[in-house]
Amino acid sequence: MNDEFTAIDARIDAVLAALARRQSGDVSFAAPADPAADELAALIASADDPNADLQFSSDADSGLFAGLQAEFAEFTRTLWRELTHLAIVETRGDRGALRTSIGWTGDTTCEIAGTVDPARAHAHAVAVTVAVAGFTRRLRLLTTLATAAGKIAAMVATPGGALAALPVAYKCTRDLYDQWNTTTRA
Amino acid sequence: MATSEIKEALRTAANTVAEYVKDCGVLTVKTHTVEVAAGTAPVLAASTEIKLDGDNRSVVPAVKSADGKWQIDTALYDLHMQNVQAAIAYRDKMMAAMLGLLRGG
Repeated sequence: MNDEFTAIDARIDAVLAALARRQSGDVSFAAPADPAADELAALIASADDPNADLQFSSDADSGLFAGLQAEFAEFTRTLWRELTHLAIVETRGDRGALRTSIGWTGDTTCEIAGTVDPARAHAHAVAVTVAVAGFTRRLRLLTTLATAAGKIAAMVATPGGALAALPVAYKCTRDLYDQWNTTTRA
Repeated sequence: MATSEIKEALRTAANTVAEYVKDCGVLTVKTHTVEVAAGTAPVLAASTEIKLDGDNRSVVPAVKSADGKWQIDTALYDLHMQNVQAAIAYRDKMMAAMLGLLRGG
């Protein structure tokens, strides 16, 4: 799937590769420092040490990890709720209306009320395409997260590293996505 | 507490993926017409069912002309087929994303 996430995937791979080189001691002074790799290294260190300083947490009483875990859990809940929710697109004209509902498996029901001209029907079809693109985009984000989590899990030494890797992957993907968004849409 | 939340979220995600695979054996697209002024229930005008094995069944709107030939309501048919194409494209992307999720990218 060649889309905006392909660029994010490549950026995540580059950050993970920089981190892997650092962990193996293969660091060249000629290579520029990557702040994203620095931050990811700090996050992985925190995942390995649950008592680590909680520099990323907004809540002083909870740790970096607790805050991130709660945020990730909420993100996942919201994502699945949106994905499994029926998308409904309505287009109204002077003499008629179109209403299409799309289930997440692709099952589609369209209702045509009154008279609908071809231009209105086309506008409706475009609106349906946009709604469908939103669905697939959210799922693609989840795929990116799962891929990053799999790679980060291998870098977390703590038993149960896979579980600890998820919030780290979430933060890493979110931050890189935000950076990508800022630079490409500026 | 947050760890148990993540475990719960993952459990929900796994159940949802399993549910998706179970539900996506048949892709159904239906187009209804509604007479708003009459306040009657929507009437099924066209429908298409596409099975995972490629079998498909379509019911399209048509009328018999005076000389006995069947004529398809092209405007309705075109709109229905647009929905079918959108649903197929969507299903393809969803399946690709689901497979990506299962194999980790």
